[in-house]
Amino acid sequence: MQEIPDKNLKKIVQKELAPVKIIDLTSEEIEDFDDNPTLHIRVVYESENNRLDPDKVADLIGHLRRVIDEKTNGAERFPILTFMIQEEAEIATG
Amino acid sequence: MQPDDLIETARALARLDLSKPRLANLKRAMSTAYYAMFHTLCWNCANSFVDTVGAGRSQQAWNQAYRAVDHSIAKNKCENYQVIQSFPKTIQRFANHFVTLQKLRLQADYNPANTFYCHEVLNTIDFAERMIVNLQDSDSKDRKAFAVWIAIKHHAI
Repeated sequence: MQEIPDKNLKKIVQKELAPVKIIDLTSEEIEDFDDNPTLHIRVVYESENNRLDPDKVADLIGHLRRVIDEKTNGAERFPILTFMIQEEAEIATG
Repeated sequence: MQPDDLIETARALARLDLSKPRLANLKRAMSTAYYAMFHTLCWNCANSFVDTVGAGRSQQAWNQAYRAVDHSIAKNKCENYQVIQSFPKTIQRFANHFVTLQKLRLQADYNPANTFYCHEVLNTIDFAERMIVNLQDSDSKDRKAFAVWIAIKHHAI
């Protein structure tokens, strides 16, 4: 079972990246190539000119690390965030 | 290898055939964006440890300092939250994106089942570009401390 439900992750991402609109979010717990626990979070978003603020995204990674650490008693699952637009999400889901 | 040039290469690859991008180009773009950040770390180490210009600079020493950065060790150091949070915000941000980019680069280069989409890659290139500028614009004292943390084996003192 997912340690943090996607709907909770979506609320956090929405709050931290406002005014960007978060349309959807899916996450997957994986092991990276060094066998370290990783949480791959794919975000579908809508923003002016499809742009995102890199500093806000970097701060969001730090914020999510703290949240994951609290919820999992120090499991240290590093969050990887990637962002796609609605058209790409539709292709991805077929 | 200039990080700025690698960013431009990554962007050019990601924008090829925008209406129907090739996965191979997107994966190479993702990998190249990571290398732009990696070479920024290498430049930072070389310029922190050896004089950057002038007769006082030993090119051989500079090259050796440039090569001091190890991919895996650098990622682990950037992932060390206890230490990284003691650096200024700009360096914390660089570290967060560096870890992300390295994990994505390994997916791009070695996982044949992995798929990327154009905006995933273009956004990641934008993030890398900003983080490179952030690090280059950081205070000299902080950049040097970061170079020491990244390149030198840590012993408790």
